Amino acid sequence: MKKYLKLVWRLLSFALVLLLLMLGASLIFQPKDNSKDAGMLDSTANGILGEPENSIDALIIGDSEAYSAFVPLTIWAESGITSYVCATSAQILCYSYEFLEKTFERQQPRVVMLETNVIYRAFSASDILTQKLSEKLSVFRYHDRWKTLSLRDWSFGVDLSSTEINKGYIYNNAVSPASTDGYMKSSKFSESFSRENEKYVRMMKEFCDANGAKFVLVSSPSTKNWNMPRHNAVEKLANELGIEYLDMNLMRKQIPINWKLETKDKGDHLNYSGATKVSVFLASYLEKTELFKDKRNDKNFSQWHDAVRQFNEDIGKS
Amino acid sequence: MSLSYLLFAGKYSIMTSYFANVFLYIFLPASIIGFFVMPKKAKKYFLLAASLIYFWLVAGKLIIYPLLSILAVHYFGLWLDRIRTKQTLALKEAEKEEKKQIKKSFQQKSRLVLGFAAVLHIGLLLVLKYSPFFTENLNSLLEVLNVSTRLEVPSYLMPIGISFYTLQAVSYLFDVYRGTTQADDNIFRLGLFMSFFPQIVEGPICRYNQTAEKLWNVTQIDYHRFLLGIQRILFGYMKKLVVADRLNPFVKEAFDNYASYDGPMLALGALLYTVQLYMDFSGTMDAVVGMGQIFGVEMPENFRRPFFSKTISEFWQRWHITLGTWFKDYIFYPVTMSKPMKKLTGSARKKLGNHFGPLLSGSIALFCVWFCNGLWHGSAWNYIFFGMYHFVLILCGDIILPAVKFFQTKLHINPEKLPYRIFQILRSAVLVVFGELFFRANGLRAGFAMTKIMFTRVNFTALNDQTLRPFGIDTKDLFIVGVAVLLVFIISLLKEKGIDVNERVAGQNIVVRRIILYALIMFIIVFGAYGPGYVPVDPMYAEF
Repeated sequence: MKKYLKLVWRLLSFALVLLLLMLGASLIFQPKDNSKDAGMLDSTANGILGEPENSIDALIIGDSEAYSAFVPLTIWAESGITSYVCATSAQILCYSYEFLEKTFERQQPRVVMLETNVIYRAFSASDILTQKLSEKLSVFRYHDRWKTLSLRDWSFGVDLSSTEINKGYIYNNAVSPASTDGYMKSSKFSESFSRENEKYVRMMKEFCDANGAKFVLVSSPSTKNWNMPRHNAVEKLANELGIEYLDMNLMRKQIPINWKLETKDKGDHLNYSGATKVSVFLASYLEKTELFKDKRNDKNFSQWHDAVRQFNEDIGKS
Repeated sequence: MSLSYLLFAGKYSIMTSYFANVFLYIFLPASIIGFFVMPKKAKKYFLLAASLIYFWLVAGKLIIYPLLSILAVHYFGLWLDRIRTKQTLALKEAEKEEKKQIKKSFQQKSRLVLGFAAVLHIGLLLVLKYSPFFTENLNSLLEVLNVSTRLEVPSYLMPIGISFYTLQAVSYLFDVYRGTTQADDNIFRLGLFMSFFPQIVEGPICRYNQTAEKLWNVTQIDYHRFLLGIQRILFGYMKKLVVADRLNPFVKEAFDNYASYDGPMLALGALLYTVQLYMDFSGTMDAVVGMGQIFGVEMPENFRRPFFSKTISEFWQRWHITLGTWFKDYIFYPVTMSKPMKKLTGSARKKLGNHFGPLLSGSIALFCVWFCNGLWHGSAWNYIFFGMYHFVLILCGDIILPAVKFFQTKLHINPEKLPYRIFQILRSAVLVVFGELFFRANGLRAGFAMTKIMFTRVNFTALNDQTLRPFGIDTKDLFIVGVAVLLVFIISLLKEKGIDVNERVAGQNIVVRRIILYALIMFIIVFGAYGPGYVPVDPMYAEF
């Protein structure tokens, strides 16, 4: 017995020192601010960390569909509601959940929207483990910064005040027409998604409930990624959860996307023109919830007007 | 992460390799702890269950293949054994003149059973792995012959490691047939031998006599062996994650878009691919042997510092050793010892002398070995070319051996002197790298096209961040790869000199040992090519 206890002690002490080493390395390798230059991954989505405390009304989470379809500055210009898009390429739901948790550390959005394309992206147990591990020990996420480490990285202080002008939206106005043959053709079938994905959607709903936020599922227009079997499955899930589901693919009158001109890649994603239509609709939807005040005349939010000006200038240049 | 997700993941594989997070952080520790706390008698059953669960987590429903294979091998092994027992009884009771006839009759039966069992296993491998290749070639032939009919190219889901466990199964059956191994009446012991989780994906290809009993008689984890195992696993992880996976983008670009680059860059691509392949496969083998050590089972080594080889023949005695010995025992020797070959050797010896005479039948057997070796690696012409290339090199080496010895004597060259040995090592390495170019090339044509570019577009480019950018790596990556390769080289050199660094480290006092281990772990964590920006690279030999 004594022999085994000695062995257990040896292993535990080894693991403890290793953990301390990894924590130390995490302090060094963690980017010292949330900008791209500092090495922050997904810096556009992580720009939310630099937004003033409790300044974001609505949070939109998702993958490239989300950062192509929702323009927070348009929503602001239309309604005076502040929003942020925490979207990353090929986002998986365990990463979406991390954004949700991170956001609520400094923000209290009243509405959280999940763009539903992520629900159909499979992820493995290994992905969850990687995500959890790198969330706690950032050396696993940022170890590749060994190439760019500077003296500043040894100071351990982290300044997360960098913001993104576009508030998470990624501008693109290329045109590549899409065919609409069979788009949202009626079907009684449902396309299933994995149980783990469903579990994460439920967890997000519970998290929002616990934090007093309204959780909404939203499908942005995409001829390539969305169809009726997916709509049916997500609608069923929304009904089960008792939450609202906005399928913009079925709102052709409210959001009249011209698929010849308003998609950048044959119906996969919207371009800026299409995204503007979606955002105007979303602004009016958010207004109708009566959860928000129009902040356009609030001096504390003047930076949003500056951002709109800057954004328009940037668009003009491009 | 729910347990149900781990166990019932449906169509998505949970673990892709020994380098997957789930394996490293959950499966392996759980297996070690489970094994540790299990009563002694239950440890072997625990290992069997862990092995089957592992395979299921990797391959899902395809576990049916190894399960059926275990059942078939068990059954046929016992059948062969029964025939042998009946033969012994019959011989006991037989008259002297009847014995030859009885032996012949039972041998025929044994051969029939062995042939059927081998065809079942090899046939399944042929259908799953090679039928698309054969069909494509048949369609090409039909096209050449102006026949309008085309056959549909089949596509099958192949269980991971099938090439490895099939050879293991066939070796067991052959050994039972030859009487060098007794058929195992315990299906669990045989099952554990066939499916032991550290080896089922990439080998080593074990023989029943090597590991079956050891696996069945496992005892409690020994602390010293545990240390050796952990250190070996970490060394393997370093080879794989720091070197092999870091080189992957360069190699991929050089081979996928070879037409865009000049000869020296492609030569570098071939060299780095050889380094990648060695680090990947030998790194995986280090992890496998290390896991075996933890559970108290010494697995056969698959590598013995191959890049210290002075000839190609020696290289293949040091690279993928268990595959080489498998081919030697089950193809080379049966062919050379067959009656027609013996006859051929006899007559050739008379006409061509003692050196060249046996070479004739030897070369036929060698051809069979290298044809099978090439084909085993994959169903494509470049793999067959790879096999034939080594066949020619080894055969030429044997043919010119007397001439080489003659010139060595005439020119007063001492082959044992260091400069000559270095020359031999470098020459062998260059030949190996050239062969690996064809092995990795996207088809035989691409291999020849790359070779042509290497000799016709000889424009040297400086290696800097700008020239390396299209390859997805930079000079810092190459520097880290260089550091890790140097470390592997020093450890290998010491091993060649008889110094086992793993043993030395395990023998140090706890402080020194831990400092070394922490340094190695942090080196892997920081400099490993994983996480954002990297595409996970599955162990390369798992595909073969």
